[in-house]
Amino acid sequence: MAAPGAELSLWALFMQAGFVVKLVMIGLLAASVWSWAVMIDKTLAYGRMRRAFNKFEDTFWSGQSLEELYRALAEKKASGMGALFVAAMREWKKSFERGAKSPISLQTRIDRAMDVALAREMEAIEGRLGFLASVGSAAPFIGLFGTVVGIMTSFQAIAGSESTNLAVVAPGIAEALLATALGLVAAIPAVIGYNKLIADAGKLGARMEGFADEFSAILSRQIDERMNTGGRAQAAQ
Amino acid sequence: MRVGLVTSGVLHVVVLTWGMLSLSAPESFDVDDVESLPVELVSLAEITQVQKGAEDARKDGPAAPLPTEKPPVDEDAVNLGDHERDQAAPETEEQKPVEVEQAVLPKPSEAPTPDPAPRPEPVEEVAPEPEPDTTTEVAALPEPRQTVEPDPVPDVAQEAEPLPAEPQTRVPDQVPVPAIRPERPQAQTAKTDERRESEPQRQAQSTPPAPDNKSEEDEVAALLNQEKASGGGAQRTNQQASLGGQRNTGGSELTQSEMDALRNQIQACWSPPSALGAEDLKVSVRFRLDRSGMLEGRPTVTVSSGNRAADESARRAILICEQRNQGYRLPAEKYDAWQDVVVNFDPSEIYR
Repeated sequence: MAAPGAELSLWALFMQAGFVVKLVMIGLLAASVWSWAVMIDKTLAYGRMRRAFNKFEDTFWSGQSLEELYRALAEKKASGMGALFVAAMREWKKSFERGAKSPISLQTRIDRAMDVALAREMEAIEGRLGFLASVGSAAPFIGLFGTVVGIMTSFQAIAGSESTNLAVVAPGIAEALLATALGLVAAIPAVIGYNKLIADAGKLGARMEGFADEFSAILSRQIDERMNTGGRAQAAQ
Repeated sequence: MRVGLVTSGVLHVVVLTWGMLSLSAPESFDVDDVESLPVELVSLAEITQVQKGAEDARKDGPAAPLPTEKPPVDEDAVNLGDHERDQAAPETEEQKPVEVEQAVLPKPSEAPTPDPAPRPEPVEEVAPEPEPDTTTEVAALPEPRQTVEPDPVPDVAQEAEPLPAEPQTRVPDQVPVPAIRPERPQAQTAKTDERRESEPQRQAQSTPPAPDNKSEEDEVAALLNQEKASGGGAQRTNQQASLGGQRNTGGSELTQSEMDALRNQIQACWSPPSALGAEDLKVSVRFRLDRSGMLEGRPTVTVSSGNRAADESARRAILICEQRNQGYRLPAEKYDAWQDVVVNFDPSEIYR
């Protein structure tokens, strides 16, 4: 129990706090550090991804041969839209190398491959955002827990000191409330960052889905053309 | 991920360091020592009793009535004010315009005094010149001795006596002068108003008095200019006024035992109505008393019971009681509290 008139600076409050409260404070501080790290990392990653999407779309619609693009991308393990494109092209090539018979099953397989690739990419994009959500919702409670424990111990100390003077009561309550303050400090940026990043991730996902649909349409047209030429060739023979 | 973690860690360290340096202990409140007596016993009289003072004065000031302008003069005065004598009527702030006729002595300079007659200018004395006689000389008789004394031919102007510039009257050195009459000593009897007024003046007069005619004029004006007619007391105070009312009311409330005494006096004189259902015949009678405890006017029934007999019995009780006891016996210093009395007659308390 702090003596009346003890120092009430931030560091003094932390040092006066009990073991449980200290633990809670350290945990909240770590959560804050990690959530900020996630937010910074994700913001940078999303920016990079957006630029990569723009670049890929430019090259894709530039009239370049899809085979050449596939060869260039397959070598350097593309991500995002590139990964979708590579997955679809791989399935396409495999099917034609082995001589696909049914155009419908080929179309289905290509879509499946792109879906899987899309899911994998989305997982990478949205990874660790769950931590932000957890911090945003749980940190205030953790801080409150620290406060309750701190006030409990401080009231026990007051009961021992047999004085109800506010100067005796105040430091313990102040140090306990510091835990709630830390919880809020961790939670508020996490909630805001989570909402912002989830919206960004949703936009990226929608963009990739759009590309997947478009590419699927292009491939479907190609399949039809090949089948028709194949059929005509058979009929000519 | 490393970039984010490092950036975040650095940010937190910076913020925490700043917080520890700048968010030091806040300044503690300055709280005066408070008396730890949360409960105070207050009697009703403490709230209701009012002390004479000013209504807009500070609450924690000293207990004093409104300050007056003049120093204390009248020792026995009761009412506050700036007057020389104690007056019962309260002093009013503004005065009704009173037309005051004022007799003023004419100024001496304005009085038309006749100019003194111009004095004849003194004419220069002309030495009489002997006129050479030519006519009386007789040439035939050359008598050298017969010279005639030349007659001085007086001028017209010379006929008038030459007046001196100032009338030179010689005062004899020793003239019998009447003895200076001594001032009549002031009769030290009962103080008259004029003397009381003039007394402090005389004490203040260290310089010789003003010329006689002027003071006379002022005196007349002062006597005639009796403009201030409103009342006010002569009790003096120079202290700062404390919070209070127009007059003291402290202690003017009748105590419970005094009220009981009055009730007993009246109850002894009352023969309550003995009709059926007389318990409900409650009467309120109001009456006024003068300072000697005698009735002023007749008691009036303010709340009637609806039964004429019951009302009359209550009224009669008041009258009988006064006659039997030669006036009501009540503490004289609390006259304010009992000058107007309302008595509730409730027969149910008797029949119970």
